[in-house]
Parts: sequence; C-alpha cells; structure tokens
Amino acid sequence: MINTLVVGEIKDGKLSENSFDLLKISDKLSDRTSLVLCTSSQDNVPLDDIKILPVDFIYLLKIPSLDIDRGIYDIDTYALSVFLNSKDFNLILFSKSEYGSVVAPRVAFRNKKKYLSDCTGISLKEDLFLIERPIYGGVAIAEYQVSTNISPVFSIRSGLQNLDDISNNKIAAIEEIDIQFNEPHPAKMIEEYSNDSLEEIKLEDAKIIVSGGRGLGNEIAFEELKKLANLLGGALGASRAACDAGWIDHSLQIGLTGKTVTPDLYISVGISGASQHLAGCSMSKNIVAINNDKDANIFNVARFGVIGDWNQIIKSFISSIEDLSLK
Amino acid sequence: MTIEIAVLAKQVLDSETPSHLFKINADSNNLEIEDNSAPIINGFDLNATEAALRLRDEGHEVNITVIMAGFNFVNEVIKKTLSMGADNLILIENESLISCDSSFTVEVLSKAINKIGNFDIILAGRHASDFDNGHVPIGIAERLRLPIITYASDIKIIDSILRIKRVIPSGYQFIESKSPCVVTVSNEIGEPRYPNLRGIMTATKKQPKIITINDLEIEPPSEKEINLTKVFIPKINLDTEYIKGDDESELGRNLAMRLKEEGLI
Repeated sequence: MINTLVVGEIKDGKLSENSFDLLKISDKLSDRTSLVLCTSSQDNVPLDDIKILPVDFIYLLKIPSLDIDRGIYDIDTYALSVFLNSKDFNLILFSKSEYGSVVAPRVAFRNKKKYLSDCTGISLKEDLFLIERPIYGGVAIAEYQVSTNISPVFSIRSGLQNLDDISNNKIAAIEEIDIQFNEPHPAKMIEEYSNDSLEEIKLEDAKIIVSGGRGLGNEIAFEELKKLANLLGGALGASRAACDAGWIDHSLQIGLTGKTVTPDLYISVGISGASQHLAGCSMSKNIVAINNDKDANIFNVARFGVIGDWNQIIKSFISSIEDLSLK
Repeated sequence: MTIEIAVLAKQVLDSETPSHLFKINADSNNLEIEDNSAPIINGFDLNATEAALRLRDEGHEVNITVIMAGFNFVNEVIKKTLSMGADNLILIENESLISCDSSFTVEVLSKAINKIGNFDIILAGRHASDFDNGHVPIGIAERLRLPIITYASDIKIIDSILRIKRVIPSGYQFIESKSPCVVTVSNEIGEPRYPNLRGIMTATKKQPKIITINDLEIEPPSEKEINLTKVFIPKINLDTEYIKGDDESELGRNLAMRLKEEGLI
C-alpha cells in the first residue's frame, strides 16, 4: 500500500496549479493521498475547494511564527520535519517550484531521507518507484529505481503534460496541527521586492511568449520583441545569455535556472537553444525558432523554423500580423 | 580579522557542449563527450569563487579555500579557481563521489569542512550542471545545522553580518545572516573573472592539499538506496517545418500567414 504525502503551496488564496498536479500524480500512484500545508495565521486556505480534490487527508499546520518570517523557509522546514516525525509515508512529493527546490532537500536531509529533484516521470513497479529526470540541462535522461520502503522525497517538474483529469467522489478529512517554532534562527528575511510589474502578463500564465537571446545583440532589440509580445497578447521572455549580458531583467529568464514555461506558442528569436534554456521551454506546445544559424540547436525542438536575420523577419512579421488582424 | 571562506567546487563535463557530441558510456552508465574535450569547473561554482573574490575586492581580509570532492581530477582544470585568486585548494578524490546519490558527497564535504577549521562562510554554486540537483550545499547546511541561503546574486558583509540579495521568481529578497552560514550562488551575481597572468603563475606554483576519505574516517557506502539504472539521450522526432521565402521580408510574412492558418495567433 502506497501512502503518499503531497506538500502543497497556497498561491493567491488558491492551491497552486503545481500542487494540484501533484495530487493527480499521487492519485494515480497511491492508495492514500495526504496533503500538508504550512500556514500562517494570515493565510486564507480555501479548504472548501481543496477538500473535494482527490485527497484523503488534509493536514493544516498552523504556525504563528510564519507571520513574521517566511523568507528562506527555516520555519516551513522545521514544521514539516516535526510533522513527518509523527506520521509514516512511503513517498513525499514536492513540486519543483522555488519553494520545493529549497524545502524538499532540507526536509529530506534533516529527516535522513533520500531525495531526487526535478523528476519528469514517476511510476510504480512492485515495490520500486521508477523515476525519470533530465540531467546535463536536458541533454540526457536518467532513470532511477528507488525502493518504496525508504520513503523518499521527490520534487516534480511543473507543467508535465498528459495528466488525466480525475473524477473524484471523496471528501477529505481535515486535521489542524499547531506548531510552535522556537529554534535558533540566525538568518532572516529583511525585505522583499517584486518585479512583477515588469510583466503585464506573467510568463508562467502566458499563452504566447516571445523570447530573445544572445543573437539579438543588444538591449534595444528587446523593445521590438516587446512590441510583438504586446501585439499578440503575450509575454516577453529571454535566455540566460541575454539576461547575463544585462540586456533584460533576470526575472524574465527562461530555462533551468529561470522560469519553466508551457505556452501554446513560444517564439524564440536569436536563441541558440542551449540545453539549459530548452529545459525551461521545451514543453511549450508549439515552438517557432528564428535564427540565422541553420545548425542552431533550437531548430531541433521547433515545429516552425525560420532561417535569416531576425531583425528584418520580425519587422515584416509584425507588419503582416497588423495587416492580418485588420482584415 | 580574516574572514575564512570555503568555496565548494565540482569538476563536470561541459553541459554547453553541442548536444550531438554527447554519447553514453555503457560501462559507467554516464555521459561522455565524443572528442574527449577537457572537463570544466561547474560554472555556478566559478560564480561562487567570484563572490568570494569580490568580498576581497571590497576591502575585506579574506582567506579563500576551494574544496573539491570528485574523481579523475584534471590538473589544469582544477587549478582554475587558484588562478582566479583563491588562496588554497583541497582535493578529496574517491570513485564513490561521482555516484548519483549525493548523501555520500554531503557526508565527505561536511566532515572535511569540520576538519579543516573555522569557516565563516561556505559558498557553493546553486547546482552542478551535470546532475542538476543542487542537493549538496543544502545537505551540508542541514548536516552542520547552519543557515542556508540559496540563489544569492550579491553578498555584502556589514559589521560581521552577511547581507545577501537572494533571487526569487517574482524579484528578490534581502536576507541577513550571522556567520557561519552556507550560501549558494547563482549566475545573477555576474561573470566570473578571467585569470590574469600573475594569477596563472601563482596557481602553477601552488600544490593542492589532498585529503582522503580515510583521513575523514568515512567508509564509502556499501549499499545503494538510489539506483541509477539507465542514462539515455532522448531522440527528438520533430519534423521542423522551415518557412520559405526569397528574403527576410517574405519569410516574416509567410510565418505570420502560416501561424494564422494554424490558429496559433
């Protein structure tokens, strides 16, 4: 019997999309699914919406200290570890969000559990979990076998496609657990700044993304791409090379070390397609590659390829779209 | 007072190598590069070295010790951090250190850090670009019960308190931490410096210090709890449709028509 714990995240008053995906994955894999949420007294948890999801138990950890500092997740790590000490699970799932990337390994090492991050495939064969995860920035895929007896911790890449919608007729039982944090706390968050206003449409939510890379040559070029993104009702993104060159803010970086995006249309301009970039965009439904190097790696994942000078192509592309939409 | 900084660095294959040059080595069940090109120091670990050197540039008195755990070290490669300006290099070489299960690496590096002495700051890259895990610095922090601050893009020391700018998806945070602590560094900190001639000369003369796992009184793990069963290079069967046109202007127009036809715009 597989008894799985999903560590969920609340975003904008809702269970995050990624956490919902974890519940679907767990439902397919496990006999019993539990969801745990670390909450401050200010968090408004939409329990009525969550308890009708495919989950058997919801554990609400009520942690007053989270009111003061959530920054680097010392308190979340502590609370989850205390919780895990009182319960037995065969499998603990996090999403590979920023939260999961930090908290999952901390919880794993603190509780002496084995951990694999950024898994893109998980299934069960007898008493083994079969795991697939990309390595070398996506150049290769590694397959692992992990015994269900050691209760491993995995983080799962967001945006995995082909997750079946599940019909659900159970209502979860809810348990509230109060946790007081009184450990030494030598590192604290002082201030937080959001660049969100830079993006009119969030990259993660965008249906269309126009993304630029080193091949653009300068920061002014991004104004042209911004114009195209606006015209299409999409968002602007960039490769790490363009961000590192200082042409555009790092918060728009797409790739292994930036954001993972899954739009319907991803228009890449002057991006060579290093594996670490593809790791963030290759799950887009349709990729258009515009590049003057016919051997650029990006063409390997593109549904549509355009070989030539991006500047002229984009200018003509923009004016053609304006013409087409006038018709 | 001198600030003692440890930088953890890993020797890896260059993941930016064109993907068609990668192949699978069936014996080691890992990747290798066809033309046998030299490995590199993990890029994020060079960012971490750069972060340490910038503290020196800002006038702090720092002693930078780079600790590398791995196997089959290449002499010219491992000296890179010394030629950038690091003061000491410590090597721990053992075949089990390239295993896919990083618990052993965490144990080895934690014990080495304790043995070597009183580090004020332990810096590492945010992850190694081979297995892309990012476990090791976090595991060390947990094992040594130190604060862990991930994804630093700037580090300042003010009155012996670290003030760290930390990259988050929506922007950034400022974290203040007492030392000792573990900080992982991201590419946002900026390009690692190129070694100058003097740095290269100094590095040539310096000999790395070798620590064995016997010195640390550790046995390699006898049993694997995580088994890497297969590594493969995925085949992409995508028939790219190349847009045709006599010049760029026509290409742009045809692309717009084609995407409109498909209902994508």
